[in-house]
Amino acid sequence: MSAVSTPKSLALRGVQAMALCAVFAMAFATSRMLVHAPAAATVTAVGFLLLAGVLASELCEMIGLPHLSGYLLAGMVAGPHVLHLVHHDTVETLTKVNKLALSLIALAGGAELRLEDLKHGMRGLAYATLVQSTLALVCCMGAFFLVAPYLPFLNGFSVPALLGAAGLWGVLGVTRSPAALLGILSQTRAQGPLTRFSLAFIMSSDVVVIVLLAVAFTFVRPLLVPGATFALSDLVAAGHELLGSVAIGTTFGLILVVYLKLVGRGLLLVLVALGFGLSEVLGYLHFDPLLVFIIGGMVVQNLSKQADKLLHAVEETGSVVYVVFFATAGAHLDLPLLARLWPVAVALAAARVLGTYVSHVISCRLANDEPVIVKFGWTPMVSQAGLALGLAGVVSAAFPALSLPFQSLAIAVVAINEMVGPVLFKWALDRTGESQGAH
Amino acid sequence: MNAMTAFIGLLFLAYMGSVVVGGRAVRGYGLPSGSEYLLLGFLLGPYVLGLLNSELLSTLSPFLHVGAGWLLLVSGMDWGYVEDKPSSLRSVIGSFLLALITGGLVFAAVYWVLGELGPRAAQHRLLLAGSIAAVGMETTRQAVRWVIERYDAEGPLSRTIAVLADADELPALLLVAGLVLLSPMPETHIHLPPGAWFAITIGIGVAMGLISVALMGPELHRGEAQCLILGAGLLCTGLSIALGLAGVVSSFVLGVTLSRISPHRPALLAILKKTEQPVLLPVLLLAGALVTLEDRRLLPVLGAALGARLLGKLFTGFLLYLRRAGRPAGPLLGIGLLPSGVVTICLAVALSRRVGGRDGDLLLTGAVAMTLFGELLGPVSLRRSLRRAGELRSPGGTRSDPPTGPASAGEVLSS
Repeated sequence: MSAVSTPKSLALRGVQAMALCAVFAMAFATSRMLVHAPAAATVTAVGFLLLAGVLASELCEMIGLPHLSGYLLAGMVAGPHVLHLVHHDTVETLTKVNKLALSLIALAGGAELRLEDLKHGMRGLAYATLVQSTLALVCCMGAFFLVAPYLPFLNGFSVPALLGAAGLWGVLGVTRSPAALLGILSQTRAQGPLTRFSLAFIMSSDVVVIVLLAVAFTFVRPLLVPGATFALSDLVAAGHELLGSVAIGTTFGLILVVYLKLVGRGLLLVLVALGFGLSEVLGYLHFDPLLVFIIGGMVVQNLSKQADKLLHAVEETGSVVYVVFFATAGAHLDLPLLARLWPVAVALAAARVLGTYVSHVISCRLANDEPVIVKFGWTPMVSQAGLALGLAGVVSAAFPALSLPFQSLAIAVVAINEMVGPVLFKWALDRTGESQGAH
Repeated sequence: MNAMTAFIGLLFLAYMGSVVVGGRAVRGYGLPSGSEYLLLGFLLGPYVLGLLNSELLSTLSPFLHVGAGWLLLVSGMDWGYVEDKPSSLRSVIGSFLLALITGGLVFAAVYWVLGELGPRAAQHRLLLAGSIAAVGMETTRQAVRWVIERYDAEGPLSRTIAVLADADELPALLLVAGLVLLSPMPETHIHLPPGAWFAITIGIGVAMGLISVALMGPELHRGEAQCLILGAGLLCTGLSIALGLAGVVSSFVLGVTLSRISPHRPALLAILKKTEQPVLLPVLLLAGALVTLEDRRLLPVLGAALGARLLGKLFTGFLLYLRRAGRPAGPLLGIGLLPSGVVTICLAVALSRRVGGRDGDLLLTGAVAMTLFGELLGPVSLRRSLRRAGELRSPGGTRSDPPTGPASAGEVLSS
C-alpha cells in the first residue's frame, strides 16, 4: 500500500508516461507477432496489467483522480475492446484470480470494522440502510419503468412483468462496491467520520442486498416466469445463506485468531490458500464468500488483539490485489455495448445517483447525522463493480425472459458507476480533509 | 481434482512441509536447498502415492514456470553480492571459468554416454548433453551460505567459496539461454537468427529492469514497488514463454538489472526475500513430482554426469587448495562444492519444458538427483573443510542468533 508522500517531479512523470508507452508498445508488438498461447497470455496479461495499472494510476494522480481510475483505464485500453492486448479468454481466466482479490479485500474490510465505531454510528447507519433500501430502490425502479419503452427486450411485457423487472433492477441499483471503497481508503489512508460511516454502510450493504434479492426473487418470479407460483423458498435459501455465512465467517475468524496468536508464520501463504480455497468451497455450498470474509475480519478485529497482524499481512498484498482486481474489471468492461446503450445507461445511472442522494439527505435528517456525512456521505454509495455484475448474472440466469439484454444493460450502467464513483468518493475525502493527501 | 483445488492443496502441502520438515530445532539461512521438498514431491507424485498425477502436473505447469522465473528474479537481485558487498570482477570471471570447466566435463561425459547408448542425431545429443551440463555446473550459494551462517564461519576461504558459489550461476544461465534456441521455436510472424533471439532474451530482462527502476523513482513506495516488480517479472516470463525463450534467464537479468541500477536495492531485496519461501516450496514439490524413473538411459547418464561433476568440483576445490587460505582445508575441498539447489532446479524446469518428451524428463530427473547427491555430501564436507581451515567460530552450530529457514537434508542426516 503506497504511503502518501512528496509530490513527484514533472520530469519523473514524463519518464513514467514514456515507460507506459514502452510497456504498451512491447505488449502490442508481442500480441501481433505471436500465435495466441493461453498460458503465456495469462501470465503476460497479469504482468502487463500490473505495470500499466500502476503507471496509469500515477498519471491519473496528477489530475487528482484516484488510483482505481488509473487501473480501470489501463484495463480498458488494454482490454479486448480497444487494443486487444488482453484477450477475452484471458479476462475470463483472470476472473478466477479476482476471487482471491475480493476475498482479501473483504477480509481487510471486515478487519477495519470496529464494533465501537458501529455502535457509535448505529442510528445513522440504520436510517441510511433503511431509506437507501427502500426509497433509492424505488427511484431506480421508477427510472427503469420510465425508460422501458426505449428497451427493445421489454417489448410485449405486461405492466406487472415490467414492475417485476424494475424490482430486480432496483435491487441492482442498491448494490455497492466494497472493493472500490477499500481501494480508495487504501490509497488515501483516510480517517474520520465520513470514512467510518462509509466503511460501516458499504460493508453491511452486502447483507442487505442478499435479503433484498431474495425478497425480489420471491415476489418477481410469479410475474416473470410462466407457471411459477408465489413461494418462500428463495427467502429460506437467503436465510440459509445469511446464517450459514455468518456462522462460517465467525468460525473462520476464530480460527484465524488462533492461528495468528499461536503460529503467525507464513501468513501470506495461508491467506492465498484460504482466499482461493474457501471461495471455491463457499461457492459450491451456496454461501456468500464476501460476507464470510467480512465477518471473519470483524471477528479478528473485535474479539482479539491480532487485527494489526492480519491487516499488516493483507496490506502486504494490498496494492497488487487492487491493481489486478480493477485492471481486470476495466478489461472486462464492454465498451462497444456501452457505446450502443449509452443514452439509456446514462439516464439510469443518473437516476440512481439522484435516488441515492435524495435518500441520503432524508436518512441524514432522520438520524441527525454530522454535517460532513450529510454533505458527502452519498459519494461512496455511487461506485459499483464486481458484486453488481455478479448479481446481474444471477438475475439473468434466473429469469430467461430478461436474459442477456438485461445483463448487458446492467454491465453498461455498472461501467459508468465504476468510473464515476471512485472519483466522487476521492473528491469527497479530499474535500473533508480525511485523506492524508488533503492534510 | 481441478487445477484450482490442486493448487490450493499444493499451497497447503508446501506450508505443512515448511512447518513439519523445517522445524525449529535446526535452521539454515536464506533459501533452503530444498531436497526435502523434492523428496516430498516425489512421494506425492505418480510413482508413490499418485496424488499429483501426470494430468494434474501438466495443468499446474504454468505455476511451475512462473515460480521458477520468480525465484531466479530474486536470485538475480542477490547475484554478485556476498554479505552485501559486491564481488570483484576478477572473482566473478574466475568463478565463471571454473563453472565452465565443470560444465565442460559433464557435457563431454554425457555426450559420450549418449553416443554409446545408441545412434542419435548429433544435435539431439548436443542439446541433451548441453542441458545436463548447464544444470550440473553450479554450486548453490544457499547451501554454502547455510554452512557459513550456521557455524558462524569467517575467513578468506569462507569468503572465496561464497563468492564462487554466488558467481558461478552466470555461465549456466547463459548456456540455458542459448540451448533453448536449439529446440523448435513457437510459431511467430517474424524470423530472426539465434543470436538475435539470444539478445532478445537478455534484452527483455534489461528493458524490464530499466523500466521498473525508472518508474520507482527516487523515493520508494512499497506497494508500488511490489506491483512493478511483480508486473515486470510476470511480463518477462510471459513474453519469454510466448516467444519460446528462456524466461528464467530474462527474469534473472531483470533481477540483476534492478540490483545494479536501483538505489533501493536493500529495500527491494527485503521485499522479494519474503516471497521466496511461499514460491519455492510448491516449485520444488512439483519438480520432485515430475521425476521419472522409466528411462533406461537414466542410470548411465546420471552416473556419467555425477562422476564428471564430482571431478569438476574436485578440480575447483584443488585450485582453492593450492591457495594459501585453502591449504589447511585439504585437497578434497571440492566435495563441499557439490550442493546444487534452487537455480539448478529452476533451470532444469525451464529446459525440460523446451526440450520436451523423454529427454526433458531425463534432464529434470538428473537435476533432482544431482541436488539430492550434493545435499548428502556437500554441506557436511564443507563444514569439515572450514573447520580444518580454522574458520568456524561455532563448530557445534550453536549460534546465539540462529538463522531462519529449514535445514539441508545433509545436515539433518549428519546430525
